[in-house]
Amino acid sequence: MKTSSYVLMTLVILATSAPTLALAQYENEGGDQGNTVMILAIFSLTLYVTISAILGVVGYSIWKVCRIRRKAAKMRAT
Amino acid sequence: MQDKKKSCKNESDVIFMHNFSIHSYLKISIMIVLAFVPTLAYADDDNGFSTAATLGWLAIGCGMAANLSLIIFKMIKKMPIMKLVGGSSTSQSLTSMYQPVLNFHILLNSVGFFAGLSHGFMLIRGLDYISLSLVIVMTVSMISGIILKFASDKNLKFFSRLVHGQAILAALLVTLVVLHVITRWHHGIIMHFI
Repeated sequence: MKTSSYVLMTLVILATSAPTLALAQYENEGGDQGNTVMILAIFSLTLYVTISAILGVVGYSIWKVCRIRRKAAKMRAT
Repeated sequence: MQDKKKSCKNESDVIFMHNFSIHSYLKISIMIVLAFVPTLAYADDDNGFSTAATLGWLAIGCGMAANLSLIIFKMIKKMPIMKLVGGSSTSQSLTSMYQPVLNFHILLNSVGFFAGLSHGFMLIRGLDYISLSLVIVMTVSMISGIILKFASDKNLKFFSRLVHGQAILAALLVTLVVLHVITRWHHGIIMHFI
């Protein structure tokens, strides 16, 4: 596996782990109304990261299939 | 004319036997039994939350067993023949064992998925961003797995193989499961009902 894949994976894990850190912060500060809003915003980040990661994976797979098809067509033509 | 009819009947019998042998009946019955495994979680239980939590743990256990077995098998298969204890004979037996291991992976993952689905429906009022993300990732993995198993088109098969085998998707799934357990634990649901 390439280094870029490792970096990407680490970023995804860090981004999805953000809610845990937010939760710890929330526990430390007692949990007032302002913090609850912030917590919700950080929790929603998980959903956005997930959707972006899935769209990225699907897009990458489509691109790879198209590239292979194009290559095969080129090889057949020559 | 009668001979023709007889041969036709024999042919259809052969086709029937080929398609529905005892082996395939056994496979179908095992699949049905495994699909009903989540219902066992209801046995001797009068607390709805505990049932739901059991289903969640069942889903996690099934997923771990199904995926770890396949990963370990693939790691052993990738090892050089010289390093294996039995040499080339071990390598050959490993190759023949791939299909059963794959079937085990599919069956256990299906059971885990349906257990997770029931768990989600039972606790739908407690839906949060992490649970929703988990549902999305699980569904994408399941759909890509089904397409990979049943698609006959080459491009579609390749596409689903790429999606299903992405390390990022696996990492996301593990992270979300851990987060889901931590946050639910935080809310006290598990601690209160176990």
